[in-house]
Amino acid sequence: MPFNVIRDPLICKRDFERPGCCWYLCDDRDEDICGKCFSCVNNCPHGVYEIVRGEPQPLHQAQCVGCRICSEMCPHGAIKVLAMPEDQRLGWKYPDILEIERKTTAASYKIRSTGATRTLPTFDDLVITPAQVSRPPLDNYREPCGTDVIIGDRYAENPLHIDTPIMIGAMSFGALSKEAKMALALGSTLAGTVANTGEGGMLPEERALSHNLVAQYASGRFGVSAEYLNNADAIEIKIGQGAKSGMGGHLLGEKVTADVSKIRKIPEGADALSPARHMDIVGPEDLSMKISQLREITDWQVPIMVKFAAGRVASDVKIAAKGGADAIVVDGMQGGTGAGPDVIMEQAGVPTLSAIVEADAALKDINLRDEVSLIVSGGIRTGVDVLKALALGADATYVATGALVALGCRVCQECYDGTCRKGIATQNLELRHRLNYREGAKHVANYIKAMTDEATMLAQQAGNSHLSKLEKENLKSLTFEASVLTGVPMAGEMGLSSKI
Amino acid sequence: MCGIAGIVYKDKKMHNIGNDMTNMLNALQHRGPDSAGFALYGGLGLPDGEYILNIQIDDDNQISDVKNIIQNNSSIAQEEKIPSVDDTIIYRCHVNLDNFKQLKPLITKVDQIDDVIVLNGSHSFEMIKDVGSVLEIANRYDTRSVKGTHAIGHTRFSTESAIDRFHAHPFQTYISEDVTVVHNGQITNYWNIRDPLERKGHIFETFNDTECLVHYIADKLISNYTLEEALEGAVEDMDGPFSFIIGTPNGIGIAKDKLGLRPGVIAENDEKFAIASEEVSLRQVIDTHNVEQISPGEVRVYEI
Amino acid sequence: MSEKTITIDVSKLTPRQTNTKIRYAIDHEKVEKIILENPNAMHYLVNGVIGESQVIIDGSAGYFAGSMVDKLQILIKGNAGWFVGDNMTEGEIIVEGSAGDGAGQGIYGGTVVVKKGVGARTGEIMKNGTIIIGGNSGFMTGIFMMGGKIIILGDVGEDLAESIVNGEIYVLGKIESLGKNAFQLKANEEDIKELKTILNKYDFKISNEDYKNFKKIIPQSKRPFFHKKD
Repeated sequence: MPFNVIRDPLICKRDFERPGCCWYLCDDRDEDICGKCFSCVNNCPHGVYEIVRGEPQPLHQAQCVGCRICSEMCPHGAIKVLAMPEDQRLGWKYPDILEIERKTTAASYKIRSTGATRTLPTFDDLVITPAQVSRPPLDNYREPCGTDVIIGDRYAENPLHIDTPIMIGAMSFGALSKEAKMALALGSTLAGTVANTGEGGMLPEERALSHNLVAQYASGRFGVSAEYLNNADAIEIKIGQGAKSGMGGHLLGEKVTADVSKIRKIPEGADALSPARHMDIVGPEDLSMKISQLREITDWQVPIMVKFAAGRVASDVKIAAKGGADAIVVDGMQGGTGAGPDVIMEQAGVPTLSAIVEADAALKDINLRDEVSLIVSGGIRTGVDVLKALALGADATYVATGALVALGCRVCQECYDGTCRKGIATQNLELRHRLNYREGAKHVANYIKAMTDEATMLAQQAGNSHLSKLEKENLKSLTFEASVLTGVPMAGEMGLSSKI
Repeated sequence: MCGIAGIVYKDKKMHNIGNDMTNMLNALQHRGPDSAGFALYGGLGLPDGEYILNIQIDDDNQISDVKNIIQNNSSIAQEEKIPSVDDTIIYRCHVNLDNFKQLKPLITKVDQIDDVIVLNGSHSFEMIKDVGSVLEIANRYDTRSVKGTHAIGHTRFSTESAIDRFHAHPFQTYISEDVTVVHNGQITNYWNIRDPLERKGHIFETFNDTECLVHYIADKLISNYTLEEALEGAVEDMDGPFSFIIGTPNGIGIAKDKLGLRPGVIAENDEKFAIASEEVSLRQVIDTHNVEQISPGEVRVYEI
Repeated sequence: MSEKTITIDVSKLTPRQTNTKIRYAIDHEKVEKIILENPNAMHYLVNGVIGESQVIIDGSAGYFAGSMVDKLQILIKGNAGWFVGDNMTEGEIIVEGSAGDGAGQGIYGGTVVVKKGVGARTGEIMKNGTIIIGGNSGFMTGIFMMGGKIIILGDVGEDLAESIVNGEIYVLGKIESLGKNAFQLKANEEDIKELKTILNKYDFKISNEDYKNFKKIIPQSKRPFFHKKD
């Protein structure tokens, strides 16, 4: 509970004399009680508030994760959420004690959403080395810097041509609302990039709104058919995702509404389980045969990508490349999810930073680096992260949680609950109305464009005229960990070129 | 990793097993592009005490060093040089030893020369393994002309260890004479199996899980377990997805993991008994009207 | 009425060439019956083909035979490899011999019939449709089943219907053990009537006495893993 939630009762009671002040966020639209909106009570995903003598009070502060949805949605601006320093008693932090208490009643592991929340080595530990006179910087305002990239031109007859190396990652319909899926699809088109169906089948609206759409082929095979695959511009075989490496999916029955059941072609209201691994991919030759099978089904037209959770990166990447994949996605442990066990998110996987380097080296090792596209994901937030990922060896990146934040997500880690206050991770019609997909699409597209601009600006600082031209030599490490993980020399150490 | 195959002729007579196995493995080529290997039993007919060594040598000049070491211990009865890819030579020779126990020390001595690796030493079977496709290897070593009673073979899709001749299957052991294994899968409790065997004095030369398997089986065999019991023990003790075929001078046996994650099919008639990863491979040597699926955790042995 | 038939010799073709020829024959030449000669247990035969024609595979097929087909009628005269009919949406696949693991994996509709026995995990993650196995079926038959029907005339291995959430499995022979969330009943008269219709259609001869021995396996709950919010 490193958060202090303060509600100012005086401001809260302010009367604006405008009925429906909080009209679209209020779940109780009785004008008689307007002014006592209880928006904070209704919208807090973690039950921090309780009504005491007719007034909302932040009683259960220990449960606050700091998403600040209450303060964002308070029509009076009466709420402040302040981060507090962590309470440590020889390693026995208060959250650890609370977690033990939770276990004593629940008797099971903790489920939550998003990905790892612990401190991990990030892209922030690296910096770009600006060009000066040893090599000249390029003029960001007047000189061009290319951003386009081709994904999957190894065997596929129609590879993906995209305008920016920032693609939207896989999130399923079912986990997300229809509006959120449509916003991401349209946003991808506006930004000239790619959307991804996730494992929950393809929405017709999503297909219509996205110029390039990747169809994910996951272990549950929801909504999969020849038509589904042939309607897509690429196919992604999902072996695992960074957040929950070797876990299956589990969509609670509550979220399997009529719409979801139609798209996934599964019974309404029943839990939708996806196995921990593909029932027919348990070894390298199986993966290679699966790739061949999907190629036959799509008549070799579209790229076949393989997505792994970063673990035994080098072995997995080599297998996929030898098995005939056009592109490989490596998802670091910072990757997100709609629902998964907390321990797996925090304790399984390797960070994105080292996964990129290992994957790139593995492809070079088998002389397939030029043929196979490498996409990385997991914790990418800014254009700077993107650029550093490209410099470390990636061809493109996925953003997923970042794109949701652009739609209004505040990372409250309760997606699995189905009551997303932002209308993103829910199937509830009232909540879904809170998300305008056209507005959302613009926000997503703006976010991606701004990130692309950040990346080009830094690339030109380093003296490069295309994002794909960046190399490891353009980076320096600020921390010893990052240097060891990536092989990027420490700042102050001379790079390779100066040693020759 | 990989495609596996095995065949036994029930009459104990000489048959064209080299040709059979080449066809079986060629049909499994798609399961493993990296390397392939054969253990062809029964056709060598070597007198007691005579062994074949296959030695990988990178530099032609080193052959004399190798010969010197061997001749300090034994006479060289017959020798042959087979060129392989990347200027490597496979030097094959026959040696005479007093008993099987001298084979491993001799191999260790030869191995000490830089860039020289002894691929195997055997008495009752011919080991052929190399990188490349099955047909390339078959041409390089003329596998089709080899005769014998039974054989096992492998096409490899490497997972976690190196791609070279030494890591190509079959793997063999020097604990017990002429036991070989081909394996499709992974052993995920490798170190738990390896450690006790190493403490017993078994020498491991690679970090490949298949080598661990062959040591495990051989260890059981010298402790007077039957092949079937040894395989049952392996199913109990090994973790992970696997199906593997063991070859011994008397026959072959297959075991499959308890979750049944790796394939295996069997076909049998009055003349022969054949096992393979896929039916397409069995079809090369036997009528596949009645193909049996090997069940999870199942063990099958055919000894002649 | 003479139906339009063509014969393709597969022995010298790759799976891609074969599938392209089949698609062309159906889409452009309106062929009603295609015979594939010398299939030699080739993988990926008739994959992702859509149309109402009939395809006869004159021998054994390899892995993923008839995967993701729609409306097609496929007859495999020999055996089938692993995952026959993987993910098909509509139509019919009949295997005269045996099949490997995962027969009818993930099907959304249509019928997969295997006259002899099959390997393990028959009908895994299937969402709808019907699978009929004339012989035995191995370990974890119907794992993650989300709908449809599996009928097994022989015995079944351990953990039948593991983690089933919807659909039903009928077994005539012995059941080794049931998996999590599986619940065993006796088939009632209505079920038997339905079974008779289906089995007669595919020429399975079963006596009236035997029909009474059919066991029916259904899920205990559609929400087996309901995770209460803590």
